[in-house]
Amino acid sequence: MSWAAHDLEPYVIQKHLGKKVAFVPLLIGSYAPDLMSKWFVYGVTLVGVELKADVPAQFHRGWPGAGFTHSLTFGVLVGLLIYLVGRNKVVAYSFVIGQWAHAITDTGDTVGSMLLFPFTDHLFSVGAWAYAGQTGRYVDAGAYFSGLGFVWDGIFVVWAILSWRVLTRGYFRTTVMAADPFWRWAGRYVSETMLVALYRASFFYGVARWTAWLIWAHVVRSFAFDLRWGGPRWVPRVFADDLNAAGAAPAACRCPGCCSMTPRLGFYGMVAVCAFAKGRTSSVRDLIRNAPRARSRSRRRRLRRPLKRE
Amino acid sequence: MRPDGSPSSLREALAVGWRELALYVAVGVVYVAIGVAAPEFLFTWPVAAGYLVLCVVVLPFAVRRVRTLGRR
Repeated sequence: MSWAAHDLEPYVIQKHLGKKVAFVPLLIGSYAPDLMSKWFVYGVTLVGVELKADVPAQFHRGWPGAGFTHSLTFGVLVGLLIYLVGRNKVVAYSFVIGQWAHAITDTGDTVGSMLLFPFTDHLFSVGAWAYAGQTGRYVDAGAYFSGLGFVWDGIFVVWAILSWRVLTRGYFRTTVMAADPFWRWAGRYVSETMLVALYRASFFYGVARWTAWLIWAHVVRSFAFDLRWGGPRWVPRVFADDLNAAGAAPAACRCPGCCSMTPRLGFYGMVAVCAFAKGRTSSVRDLIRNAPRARSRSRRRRLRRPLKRE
Repeated sequence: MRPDGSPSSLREALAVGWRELALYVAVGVVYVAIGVAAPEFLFTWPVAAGYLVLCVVVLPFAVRRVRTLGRR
């Protein structure tokens, strides 16, 4: 799980896609997988009764459980539902982009997510930082901000700050409001200052929370840093293999997804993706841009027409 | 100004909105301080959004209102 990345990803995506996405569905999509499941992972007490999942990791990410909310199919289905209700393509696929960002980001921990559910309930995991949701919110926070998880969130903090243009009032007025019907509707009832504050709220929450938890974990409490792959190792960790292998032997999963997710390959992959996203590998980007594309049927027909006339 | 409505440079952005930025930073520092002292404050988005709206929109509005009434 990620603590601040899900708050900040929508701003980074907004920066890159501009008017092609609607911010509110993008943000809701980014929060959606955990909205329905995380409270039950940590547990809540209602009228003296504690409600908590028996196997939190299984409930959060696995099947049976609410792990389907972290699959790519869930995003597509909810996106289709949104499209059927609202008939707005931009709103629908903005939700899908946000939900996919969440599901893919969560593959970073040792449990991962069921990306291809319902085709398989296999958990795809890079295993960069420990999943410790079963230990409760405070120990989980201490573990997350002591391993590579906080580095991952830190990348998004820096990336979101570098995307500062999307936070300006002019950008909000010209780009965000133009693409998202929610802000135009809300603008009829509240002032622009209020709308801008609400628009910036997730950025504020992500950056401030990342800073506060980091200080809390290492100044107020003395959790030890352990930046090894899959760390920190002082916390009881849950692994994808524990859940993947729950219904099948052998214990270690041998599927191509797991076999390819060795730490080194995962690291190289992440670096390549980050470099590509930032446009540093222009040669790869140009290669893809200039690659010959398959002609669509309509285009082929169009090309044939002048020949027939002749 | 760029076509997307954002300022063309950081300097231009700060020239227009440095007061607003200073307010957000101050509010953020207080939020972090409260959060470190009482981490329950950091748990949910609605609390953060409510706090931000209160500090950045409602309180400045109230202060302006009080000042205007004081002048009268």
